[in-house]
Amino acid sequence: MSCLMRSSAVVGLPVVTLAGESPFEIKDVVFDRSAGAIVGFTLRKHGFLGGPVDQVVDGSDLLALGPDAAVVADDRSLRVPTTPLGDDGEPVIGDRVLSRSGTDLGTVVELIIEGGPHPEVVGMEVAPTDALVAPEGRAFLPLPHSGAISADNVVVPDGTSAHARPDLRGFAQVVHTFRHELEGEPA
Amino acid sequence: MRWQRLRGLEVVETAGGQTLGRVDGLELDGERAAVRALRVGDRAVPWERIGAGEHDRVGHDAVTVEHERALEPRDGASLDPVGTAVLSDAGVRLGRLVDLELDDRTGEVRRLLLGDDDLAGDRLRGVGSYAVVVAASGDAAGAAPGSSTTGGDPPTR
Repeated sequence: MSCLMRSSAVVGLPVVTLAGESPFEIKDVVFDRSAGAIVGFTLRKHGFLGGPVDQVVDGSDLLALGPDAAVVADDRSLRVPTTPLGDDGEPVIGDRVLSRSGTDLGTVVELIIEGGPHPEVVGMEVAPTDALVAPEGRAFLPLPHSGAISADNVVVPDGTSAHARPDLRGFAQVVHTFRHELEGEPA
Repeated sequence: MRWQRLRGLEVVETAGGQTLGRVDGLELDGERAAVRALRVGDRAVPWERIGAGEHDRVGHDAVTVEHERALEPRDGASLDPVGTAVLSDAGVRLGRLVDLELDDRTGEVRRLLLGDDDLAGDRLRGVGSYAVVVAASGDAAGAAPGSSTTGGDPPTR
């Protein structure tokens, strides 16, 4: 598994070409709600006050997402899209996390992204309800490869709460174990 | 031969002895990991047009070219890569470039010298105004500076 990153840390990363130029930085992460895959990034000019630009990075043009940069082949990968990138764009942050059997586990605070050539949302930080054991007032939950994320709720398999962690240490292994267990569950 | 030694050398035309300028930047071919040309202000001299000696292309005290016609016009500022951030093509920052070790004859980049590490020259992918980009290795990929790992876990940001 590649580097794990908070979605808030991905915003503002430079987009760098293999020629060593960086025309823009990441403005927003766009992902496929049903698959958890990153479909691309919207862009903005560099700097805190950098305004948005029309160009985007489509996931198919991304060479890698790392902790310090998103890498593309060249500036032809920074294209003005002819169709919208991703779905309706409703943010997941603030969604309720609901188990399949209907237990409210908390509210999404942050998404956890695995970097690499095919970045993916692998987990989330939640502001927990009493249903989660969270002595530090926050919990990190793994997500399956595909899930149910609507405009209001993130629905997770029963048993997800058993894999809750207080921080990201060891979280990559938690995701691996959680997904491996799910693959063995009956349909 | 180090880039830091090459930088600042006078460029002298052997036909008439005229000093044409000083080396103040590099043009690097990322695919070949080699110097394509030396920048001299708003002009550049291709590497293969440098020197007339039997041994090293670059002299000890000057870069020589046969004639001023060897210099070609260029747009944009010269690029001196020293101090530029070094990024892997996996998006991991590896450090800052301190110097380049170049082959005296072919201009190939033998090594990229960072503050506390050095990388094989054939890892070079490109040099630009924002970063020097190198191919990620199995050791360097995912090694985010300042990150912490536990039990072989990948780093987090």
